[in-house]
Amino acid sequence: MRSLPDMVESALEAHTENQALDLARSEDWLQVRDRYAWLSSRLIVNGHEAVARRVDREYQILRDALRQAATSPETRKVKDDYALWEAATEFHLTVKHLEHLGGRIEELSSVKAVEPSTSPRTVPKRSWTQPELDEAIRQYKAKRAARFKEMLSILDNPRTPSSRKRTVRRAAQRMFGRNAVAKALGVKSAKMVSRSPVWAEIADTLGLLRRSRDRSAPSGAGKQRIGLEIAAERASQQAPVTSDYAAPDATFAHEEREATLARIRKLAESGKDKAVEHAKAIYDKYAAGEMTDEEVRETVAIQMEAF
Amino acid sequence: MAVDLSRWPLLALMENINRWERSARSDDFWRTLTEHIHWANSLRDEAKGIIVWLELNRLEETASRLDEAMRCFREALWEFEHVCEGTYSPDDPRCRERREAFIETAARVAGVAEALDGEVAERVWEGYGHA
Repeated sequence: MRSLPDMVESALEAHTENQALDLARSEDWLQVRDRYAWLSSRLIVNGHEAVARRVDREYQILRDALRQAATSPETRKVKDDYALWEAATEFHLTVKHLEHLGGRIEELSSVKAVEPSTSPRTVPKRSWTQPELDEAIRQYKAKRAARFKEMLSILDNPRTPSSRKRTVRRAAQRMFGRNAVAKALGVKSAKMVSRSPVWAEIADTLGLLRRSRDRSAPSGAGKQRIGLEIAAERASQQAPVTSDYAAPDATFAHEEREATLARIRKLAESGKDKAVEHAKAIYDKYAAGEMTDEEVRETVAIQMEAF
Repeated sequence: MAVDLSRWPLLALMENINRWERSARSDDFWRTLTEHIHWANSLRDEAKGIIVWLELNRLEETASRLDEAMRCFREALWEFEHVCEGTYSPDDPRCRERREAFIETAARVAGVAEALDGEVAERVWEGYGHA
């Protein structure tokens, strides 16, 4: 995998003769954003707040310079924009030295990872009455209200590309799907979740039931006429992942990671007892691919409540 | 006999800046301008490595003093390039003035590096420069 300083360097080299807007929209820049989010969180969970603040500050300056250059009516090349070039150079030098230090970031850390006491995987199963479960699902949704709203706004927007809707719906399934909810709440029988009117409303709003309804729809000559939008949606759900979908999917995946890393940072910076140690353990597992985005968010939420 | 300064990065930085400064004050400066600017950028790189290391070792305040001195150095470099761009002539008084200011900020960075060297414990540098 390429290092962050290499990414910054190659992004600048590739776009030095171009305009800032090309750089801002490029895959190179998306990768820089992604790696920056990882590095910044890595510094925070290892207790290097000062360096993390530096990296954040320099990245913000670079991002602002890029935004300003991209929206400026003057059409300067990247190499001729002093503010942008200067910001990129400073950021590049910092991340280059950090990259060179490699594992020393961890060696110089005073933080020892502490296994989170509770994770979604270990939520014990228990018996629920239906009204209790309905209330628990209501609370589950309330705690994820921001995410729910965000997903809904993407899904409801007629201008959202169908490929992106498909990806968002997949993420919604991971967070609000029947099995995900049952697992998170420790419900013995997932059927109880299906019977919950609260969950049914969530699933309906997010379109999580559409696929199973689609499958049961009659086929052949007696098939119902469907609207153009639904047809396009179905086509996108059934279509294989091709390069046409790769770009929006990559953007969404990046946004997912960025949001997840932000949660880890929030925990680390919460000032609560052992928060940094817990955040480090979560970060390490997430970085190693041992935890999904959803699991990280769940675990962080539980940790935040545990104090 | 040459003294190995690698164990004292701040002194090494100071020495490198002093060398640059002596060279920049000579008449050759105008003929070897590109090399001098390239050299100045490598000093910037060297200083950034020290700043990041000090911050990783929780010496934020120390790092910020060097950082501030380097900020002035960077601005002076840009001012010099901006004012002299296209001509880089020793006969242009504005350009000469900018060169003096640029050299002056470098001398200030060397002074800060020397002062900080006396404040930073030697053990802080253990492992510096080794990945």
